[in-house]
Amino acid sequence: MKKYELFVKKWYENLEEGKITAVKCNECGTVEFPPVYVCRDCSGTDMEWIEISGNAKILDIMDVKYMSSSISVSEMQGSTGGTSNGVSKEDSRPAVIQLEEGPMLNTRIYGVNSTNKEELWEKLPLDCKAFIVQKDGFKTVGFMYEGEEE
Amino acid sequence: MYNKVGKFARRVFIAGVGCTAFGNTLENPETVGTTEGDLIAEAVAEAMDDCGIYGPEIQAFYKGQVLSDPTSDLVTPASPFGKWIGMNGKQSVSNDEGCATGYITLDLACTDIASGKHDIVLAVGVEMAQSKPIPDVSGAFRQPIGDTAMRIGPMIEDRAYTRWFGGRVGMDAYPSQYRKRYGLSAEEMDKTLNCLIANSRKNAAGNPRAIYKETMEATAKKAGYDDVEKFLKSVFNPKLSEYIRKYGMEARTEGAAAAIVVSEEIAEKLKEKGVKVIEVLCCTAATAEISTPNIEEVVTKEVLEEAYAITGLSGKDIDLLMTNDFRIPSQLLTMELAGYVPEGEGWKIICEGETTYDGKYPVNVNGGRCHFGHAYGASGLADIYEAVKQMRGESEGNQMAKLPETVLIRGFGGGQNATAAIFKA
Repeated sequence: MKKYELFVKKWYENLEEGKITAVKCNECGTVEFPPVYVCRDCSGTDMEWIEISGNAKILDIMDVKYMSSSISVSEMQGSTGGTSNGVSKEDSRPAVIQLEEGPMLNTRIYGVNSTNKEELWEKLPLDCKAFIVQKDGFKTVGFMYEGEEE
Repeated sequence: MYNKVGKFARRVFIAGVGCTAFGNTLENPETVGTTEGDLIAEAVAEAMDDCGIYGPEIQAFYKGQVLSDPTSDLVTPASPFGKWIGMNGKQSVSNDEGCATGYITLDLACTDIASGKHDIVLAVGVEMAQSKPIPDVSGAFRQPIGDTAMRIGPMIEDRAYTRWFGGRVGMDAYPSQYRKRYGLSAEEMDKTLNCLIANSRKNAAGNPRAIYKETMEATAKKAGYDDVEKFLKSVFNPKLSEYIRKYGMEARTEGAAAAIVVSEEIAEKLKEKGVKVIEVLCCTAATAEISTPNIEEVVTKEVLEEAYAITGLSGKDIDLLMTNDFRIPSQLLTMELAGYVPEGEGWKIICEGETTYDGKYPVNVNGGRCHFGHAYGASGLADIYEAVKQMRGESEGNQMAKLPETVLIRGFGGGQNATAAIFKA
């Protein structure tokens, strides 16, 4: 019986060591982020752990605040939008990004707010960088817009 | 090739349909005390009376419900209800595919008939999403859902990784992409979505089962506005996101809907008795993990391609489009991806008011999730109810003048699924 490595556990352990990791299919070269056991392109299962560069492109940015129509007008006016990953939601927005290694995913982009969102959206795609975010009891990954290069 | 589906092994027909009013049972003294069983029984009784087939003749039932744990305190959530509908002892199957549940429930029922296993089965969906049980007390006594509702959204995301990435882009993904693709200004997109709201409300206003039974003009008037467009841009229709406003988001409700599905042999006998049966030409489905960018477009394209390949039909053949629109841009997305309207023209057609039941391109003529109401596990079957009623010319208050002969029903929801079914009169 083949013994499978616990991918999810290993990914979080790698974050604790300061490494943002993915897996690469040794049969076709496709990179999977976050890691999964089976390659989406060729269904290969010979996956090798790699550390990603962290370089990515922002493909889309959105400005979602509330997920329900039940919220009242007064609640909306009094809300600051709360926090996400320990950072004010006012400084981040949901986004679509693509890693330099290939994978695309929905995530959260930091360094974007209601002031600069529309201006940045007009300029897409833009560069961003992965970073490790501390949540309550574990770490995860976020992406930061660091401004345009001079 | 993966994910390609074939034709049904034998023909499948819908014989009878039923649907309760969609609303909040705790808001009306007459409906306080309603249980899941009451709603199921009401919808199923209507479907049985509709075709003259009753519990003893129905060989199995498929039941959909999304929140059977948090709002009904049930596991194995189909089996308790057989006795409510004269089907004690019959096979029951439960399913939960989020907001795609009702469509998948129909798929399961159709696949059963198509396989030859049974000749008469029932598909029923129920949801009580505005209230929840009081612990250790009978189901007749319920309390408002409160904060439990806030847990539901994240529960459809992958708990290992993606729930923690915070990438809940779904609400705005399509409007953002559509603007880029066709060069719409933010103002034009806002106007398009507000027109969708107004069109949907017009569809709902005449429908006795809809949660919103008044016109948007009447709603605006109550808030002191004579101009609907100004009202829809006002604080009374606030933005929940960059593009989605309050009336462009699902109206969470409680309700049930049902369909009795039969083989060709049974359908022929029913036709002799005057029952207007509707053929289901295909049921297709596709799923992707929710962090997949532009997921609604990705999975919808897949299921539509399959549905058209099976039937040989195209968007030009469709007379009525029903689509899950718990976020109202889904109407625009489906119209365009289905080829129901020319690509890039959908927003103009919407702004011209042509998606109402008396328009050139009718969409969600029952009012859709935002104005008919969204009772998650029941909503897909409520769409099916409306499609069948329209095809027979039996809709109340929102009947299309020319009866639709071919109807496309696109489902979406869960984590995330899309479905496509095509009905033929």
